[in-house]
Amino acid sequence: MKRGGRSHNLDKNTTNIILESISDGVFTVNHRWEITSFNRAAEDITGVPREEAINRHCWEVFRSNMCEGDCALKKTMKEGKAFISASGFIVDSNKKRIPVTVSTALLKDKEGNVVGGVETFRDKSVEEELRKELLSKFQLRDIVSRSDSMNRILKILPQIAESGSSVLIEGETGTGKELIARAIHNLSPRKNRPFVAVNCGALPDTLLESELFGYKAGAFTGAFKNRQGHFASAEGGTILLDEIGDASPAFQVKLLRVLHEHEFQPLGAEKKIRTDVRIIAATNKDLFAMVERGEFRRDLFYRINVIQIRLPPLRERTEDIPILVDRFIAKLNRIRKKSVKGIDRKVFDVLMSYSFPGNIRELENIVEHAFVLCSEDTIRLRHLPANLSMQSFERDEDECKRVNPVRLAEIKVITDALRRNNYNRNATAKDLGIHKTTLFRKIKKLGIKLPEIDGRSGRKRFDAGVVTVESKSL
Amino acid sequence: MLVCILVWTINVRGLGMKVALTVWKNWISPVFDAANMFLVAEIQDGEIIDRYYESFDPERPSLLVNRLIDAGVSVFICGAISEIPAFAIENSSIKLIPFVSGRYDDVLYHYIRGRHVTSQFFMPGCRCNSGKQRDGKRFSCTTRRYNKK
Repeated sequence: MKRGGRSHNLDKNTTNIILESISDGVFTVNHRWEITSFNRAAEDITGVPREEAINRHCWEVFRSNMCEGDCALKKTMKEGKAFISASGFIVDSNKKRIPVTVSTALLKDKEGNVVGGVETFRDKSVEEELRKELLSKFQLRDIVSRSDSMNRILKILPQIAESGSSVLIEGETGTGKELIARAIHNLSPRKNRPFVAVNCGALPDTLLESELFGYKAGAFTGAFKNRQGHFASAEGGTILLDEIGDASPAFQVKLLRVLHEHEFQPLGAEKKIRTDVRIIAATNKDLFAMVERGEFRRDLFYRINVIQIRLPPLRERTEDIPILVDRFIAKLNRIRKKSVKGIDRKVFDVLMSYSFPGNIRELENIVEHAFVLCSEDTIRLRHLPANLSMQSFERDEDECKRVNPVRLAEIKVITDALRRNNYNRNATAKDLGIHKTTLFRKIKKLGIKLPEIDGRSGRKRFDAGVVTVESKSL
Repeated sequence: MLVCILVWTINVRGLGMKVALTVWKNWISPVFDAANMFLVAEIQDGEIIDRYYESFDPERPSLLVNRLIDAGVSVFICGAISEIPAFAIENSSIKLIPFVSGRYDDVLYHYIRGRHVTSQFFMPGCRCNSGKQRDGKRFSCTTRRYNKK
């Protein structure tokens, strides 16, 4: 008897030691769902001290998404059988979701009577992080960054996406606002529904309204048949309202009504239509300052500013320049079937010291410009646009000795004017206040090579200002 | 202090206010992120003059916030809540009181009578006083320290 009793104590101690040493959280409950034991790992994972956990209801301590509707312990108690590895999450006291797997079993006394249940749970944060990282690398493949500020944004992007809340993306032009908006959509439960981007600053009020909300036949002259608007096209998906800061006060009121009532009225329609669209707004302006100045509606600002993402300009994340350049070169190599390997050290220095007012879009244009001119395996200074190569010459003393600064200035003024006037020589000459024959003479003398187009043709867009300068002329 | 009492008196005792609580059976729902029902209680002169239940989708907190604002709710009481929905609620005009547990009738009863949501109603391991103060400052929810062995 004595020996048996000692043996029982030993077993109990051993059990306690084992329970305290394992990394899985373990707790037991009685029939009233009150916690009767709580091991060290359970304290670590939940952040709840044992003395506070004991005698409290398990759902107050464990705080899992399963507690309310899909409690594994309840199923075990009801059906009398164990469950293994149910997945879910708990919410700790710091509002962090911790992914866990849960296993449950009946708790019986020596006589075999059921006295409660036992739940073991495992913190899956590390595995989940790795899984998300793999997933996010794939889904966020259009966004690359080594900068801390960007990575902080990218890290919380999946959570923002899952939340379904309205998002306001602020950032200078070319910082990737639309890419971020697309990433949010692609990571969200709405990913299989449409993503529609609308530029609020590009269209006049009436047109914007008909574009967004659609119209009925006969709503206005020329409206021969019904037309669906972007809100209807994006039903169940996401709509990006780009340049929201440029929306007129009248349009802001209409938009506010849609956000407020989740309904919109197509032009000429009698009935309103319910809408389920996630709104992402983007702007390169300081909306809060606009609100303070009375230029943007405060109520609309607070409707769209549930979650705010501020994208840093490229000059504040210069560590991303090399990786972005590599990416653009790889992309262009693929598209244009070339094999440019990289950039020269001097080009790298120029890029790293440039302020990039146009941000990533400008960097991409610069790389494309250089790529077009580059017939070697490395992009060199002479392949860069004139303004950048000039900047580099100013910095490079040796090279400066070989060039004439007056000529450089002349080249810059002429190439800038040409770009400004879409390479129309007459307009450029007028712009510069010189005769067109003088312009032609200077172009020839300075060795400025012009694209084949002359600005009078119907082409809408020019390839990043393909003006080249023969280096010998400098 | 006087200002606080005055504000509380106007809100709870006098002009009336609406409080919303996430509910599950007779309890405050343990986790907002998995809750699906909230109760709106309209309080006037220290009494509940109206109450109704509504379902909601916790994955779409901004919609919930809009509905609460439309309904005139000024205080939202819930159980554990993760960062994103908490941010969405705190960023609105609604005061969030998270990590509350217990029978929701008891919580309401105490709240109506102007008592703080005291430690007896907070979840274990949590000394929460989260949400926005009236002066706009934010409290944060802190984990109670304990000695890890």
